[in-house]
Amino acid sequence: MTAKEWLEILESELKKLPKAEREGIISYYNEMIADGLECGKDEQEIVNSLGNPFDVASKILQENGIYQKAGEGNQEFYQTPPPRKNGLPVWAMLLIGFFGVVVGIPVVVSLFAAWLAVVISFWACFIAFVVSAVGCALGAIVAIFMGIVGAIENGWAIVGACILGTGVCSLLSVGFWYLSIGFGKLTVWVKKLITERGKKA
Amino acid sequence: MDVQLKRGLLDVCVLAVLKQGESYGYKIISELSPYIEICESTLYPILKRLEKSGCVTTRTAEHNGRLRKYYMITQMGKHKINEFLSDMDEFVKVHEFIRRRNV
Repeated sequence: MTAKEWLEILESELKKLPKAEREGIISYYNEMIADGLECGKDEQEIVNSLGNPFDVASKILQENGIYQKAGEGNQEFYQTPPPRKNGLPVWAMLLIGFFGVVVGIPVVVSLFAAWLAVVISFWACFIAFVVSAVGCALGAIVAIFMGIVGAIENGWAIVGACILGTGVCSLLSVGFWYLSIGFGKLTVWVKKLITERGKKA
Repeated sequence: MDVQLKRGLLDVCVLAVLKQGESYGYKIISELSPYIEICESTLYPILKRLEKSGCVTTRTAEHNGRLRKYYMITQMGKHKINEFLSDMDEFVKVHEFIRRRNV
């Protein structure tokens, strides 16, 4: 192989590199070859000492973050991110992952179910309260107009009591609402704790 | 030799060559090869790295009707050499410690 051929192979193998980068490399090797010849070295000797141009090219591509498919000759290149460094050995990660699944999922699922139960029962109570209060008030009003209740004042007293009940219920519901939000947040936090541990591993 | 260790050594070796004055690729290799294994394809990324980190600067000049790239050491490069030497002093102490206990 002549020095010219060597350089041609290198250049064609480095097609995937940005032009400026490639030109820098080619002029570097051009200079190396010219300096070698100038020092009285034989062209063949220089080419031999430079090594296989395919190998040189694939090393350069690797250094530039371009990886070659194994055994794929020298044509197909594809870009892959450098392998992620893992702190723990594989068996430890598997163990932690296993425990995460065995312990973590039931914990998260049961917490979520409990939260859902709290929310549903809250709404059920709230709706029941309001409906019964409104129903009661309406009943009292109807009773007043039909003259069923002995004294009109008694009828209105029932309506007032119902309205008061609705108000108290609404106030209680605010507290209950925050309680359910807090519980939901707790569930999310526990889930995060477990999944992030898994990720770190 | 450990790959990482050798890479670090080569960086400082190249800087040490340049401390004596500007030089170019072929000459750097000829000066270093009696002391440490280095070839054309290993030198290129080293020069690139040193240039990127500001340890060397370059200039291109004509030589025998062609272009040649010259490398010069910077203040930061000189600082890198001193840093390496003081690290090595510590290293020698640890080396002595380990050696004495390895009988």
